[in-house]
This record gives sequence, structure tokens and C-alpha cells, in this order.
Amino acid sequence: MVCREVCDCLCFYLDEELDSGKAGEVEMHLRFCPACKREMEIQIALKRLLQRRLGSVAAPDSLWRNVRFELGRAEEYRESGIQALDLILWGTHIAQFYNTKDDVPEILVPYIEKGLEDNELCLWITSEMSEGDARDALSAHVPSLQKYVDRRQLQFFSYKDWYLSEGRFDLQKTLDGASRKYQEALSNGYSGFRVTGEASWLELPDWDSFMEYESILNNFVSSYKALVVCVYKEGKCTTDNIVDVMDRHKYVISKMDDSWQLRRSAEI
Amino acid sequence: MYRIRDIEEKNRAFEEVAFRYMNPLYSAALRMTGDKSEAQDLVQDSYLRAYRFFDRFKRGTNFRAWLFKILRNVYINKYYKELKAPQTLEISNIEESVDLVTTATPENEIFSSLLDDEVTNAVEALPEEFRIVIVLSDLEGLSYKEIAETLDCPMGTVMSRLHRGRKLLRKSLYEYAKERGYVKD
Repeated sequence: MVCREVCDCLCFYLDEELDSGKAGEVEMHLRFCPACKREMEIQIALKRLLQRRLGSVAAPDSLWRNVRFELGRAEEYRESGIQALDLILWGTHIAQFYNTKDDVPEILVPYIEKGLEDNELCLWITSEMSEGDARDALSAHVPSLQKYVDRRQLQFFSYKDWYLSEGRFDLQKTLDGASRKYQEALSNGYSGFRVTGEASWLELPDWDSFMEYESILNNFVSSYKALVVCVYKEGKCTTDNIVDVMDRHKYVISKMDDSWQLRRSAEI
Repeated sequence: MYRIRDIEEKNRAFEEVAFRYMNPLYSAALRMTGDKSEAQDLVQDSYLRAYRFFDRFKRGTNFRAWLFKILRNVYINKYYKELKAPQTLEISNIEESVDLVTTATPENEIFSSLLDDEVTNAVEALPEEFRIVIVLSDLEGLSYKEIAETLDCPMGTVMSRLHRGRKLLRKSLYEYAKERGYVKD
């Protein structure tokens, strides 16, 4: 073995990952080559430096406690289908801010798809993205979409039918509708209720009333087997509007530099 | 639907095999995220995911590698957003950029003069694909086979990344030492 070959495999030799034949050749070379021996000493020093300075760190007590606590309620966790969120607890209320209509399904399609897979009653309240758009987007990922629609595990409503009475937001009607659907989910044997509602139709005169609804919903879902994603068009919101929304949801997902970013309400 | 006793048994079995890796997972998470609070969240999320898929773990295969693989996947999906925008550093260029240097000060002496923070910064500044193999091999003591399982890549890739990553780290530690005036030319 020449020096170059030895140097190329020295680090594997030190990691005890060379087969015995090759390791023997390296050892033989090191016995007679001070330059390679010195190189080995440097590599050992580097390895020791890392182990000494950055070696195993004890997990803090709080981590042990938190892991035990969360595992104790692991059965309450659901697959969100949303990559940035991963597993979430029943009762999680999330806001999604979008820029263009094409952004909407990137979050909602996997979210609804997972709910259907996991035997949840799923509700999609549409606005800028129509029911037809939502169906098209979903059908590319859920081949048996029609089956879910036929057995009413997946239901679509337009924002007009779900939120409005005589052209204005109707808080009581919306809450009653949500409560009715939740009961429907449980009495039909679904494991829970997953909903998304798009609010791009929302105009200033209805804003305060809608925020009151969001506050009530925030309390309502926390104790139920329900997940909610509320969808807002970022371009239609003022800074104050965005703060209002952030105050009323546990997580906020928004798109920055072409990737979805997640923030917890505590960080906001 | 699980019965209470099933859940209790699953919890016990899981804790028995999984909790012994809490410290190594936390250490690795700390080196991956560079942030204590994020590292804790990452470990917690990884345990939840491991618990959820515990039934799918193949008995007799390497549990430690399986756990690290989950940690790595959760990290990429949830925490390492930048990975979605590929790093511009070309791996092939690194080899040329890390020609080792010769100085009057022996390198092992240079290493010992560095502060903990400088070593940490040098490791955290490594491109992700190199940092992870160094963390798993040098800090957590995983074998190449375990690392290959964790990263879902061939052993040859692990070896080449380790080789290059260590060279790069050495170069960057040397630069730190030079900036601080620890090196005599």
C-alpha cells in the first residue's frame, strides 16, 4: 500500500470499519511510515476533540417528562397530512394564509386525504377555490374520491350555504352547523371530524363577528375530536387582521420563499 | 381500537427499548438543530412517531438505527426547511478545497487550543449531508451499516461523506485557529 491509499482509508481504519486484510496492510504501512503515522495521530486528535467537546449531552429532565406525558396521550394524536405539522392532537385549530389559489390545495389536499384514510368525517367549505376545483385537486390523490362523497364521509359546502344568511355572516347558524356535523360524525361511527373552511369571501363589515366565531371555535374544538384548518387570503388581510387570526389559532401556516412555514401561537 | 391493557403493554414495551436512547437522540438533535428547545421538540416528535409505528418495527433488526432514521426524517420534514432549497455547494468541489495544510504548529495542538463554541460552530456550519454522518459516527458511535440504514443510502456514500466531511471540518477548524492567532506559520 502506498501513502495515498493509506491516507484514503485511514479514517475507516480508525472507525474499525476496514476488513481485517486491509487493516493489516494499513498497520504494516504505519509501522514504517512516520508521515502516515502522524496523519493518523491528527485524525485521532480530531475524533477525540469532537467527542470531548461535543460528546453525549444528557437530555434535560423536562424532555423526559414531556416525552412520557405525550406518549401517555399518544392515541389522541392524528396524522395531520401537513408536512410542516406532522402529528397533531385532536382539538387543534390551524390557520393557513395563502397568496394564490394554487397554494390552497398544497395544504388542504393532503390534510383531507389523511382524514379520509383515517376514518374521519371530512368537511370542505369552499370559496375562491370552488367545489369543482377542490374535487379535481383531491381526485388526483384520492382515486376513490367518489366513494367517499357517496357515503357522505366527504362533504362540500359553499361558503354562502355554510356561513351566510341574507348575504351576511351568521355566527349562530355557522356554530349550529358545526355542532350538527360533529354529532353526525360520532353517531355514524367516524373516529372524529376534520374540517376546512375558506374565508376569502370575508369583508370588513363581517370581520369582527367572524373573529368572535373563531374565538368560540378555538374553545369549542379544543375539547372535541375535531381538527380545523381556516384558510385566509393573505393579500386581503391587513396587518391587524393577520394578528387577529394569529391570536385565535394554535398554529399558523404561511408560504414564504416558496415553502410552507409553521409558527405556533406562542411564538407569535 | 386498542384496549387499555393493550395500550399499557405497548407503552411498557416501547419504553423499555426506546428510552435508553433518549440521551443519544437528544445529543444528535442538538447538533442537527443547533438549538436546545428545537432539539427537545424534535426528540419528542420523533418518539411520538416511533411509538405510532412501533408495530411496524421489524423485531430483530436494529432499533437504534430505526430510531435515528425517524429522528432524521422528522428533522427533514418538519425542521430543516432549507433542505428543500438545495445547497449550492457542489460536493465534487469540496475535495479540491480541503487540501490539508502544513504549518509549524502541529494540528493536534491547534485542535486543543480551540474553544467549545468554535468546535460547535464548525460542526454546525458543515453542509447537512456531511454533518449528519459525522454526528452519527463520531459523536453517537453508530457503525457505517447503521448510518446507511438511518440515511437510507449505500455504505459507500456514508464512507465518502465521512471522509470528505472530516476533511472539511479539519480545514474549517484550522481556519478558526488561524483567525484567532493560534497558528504559527
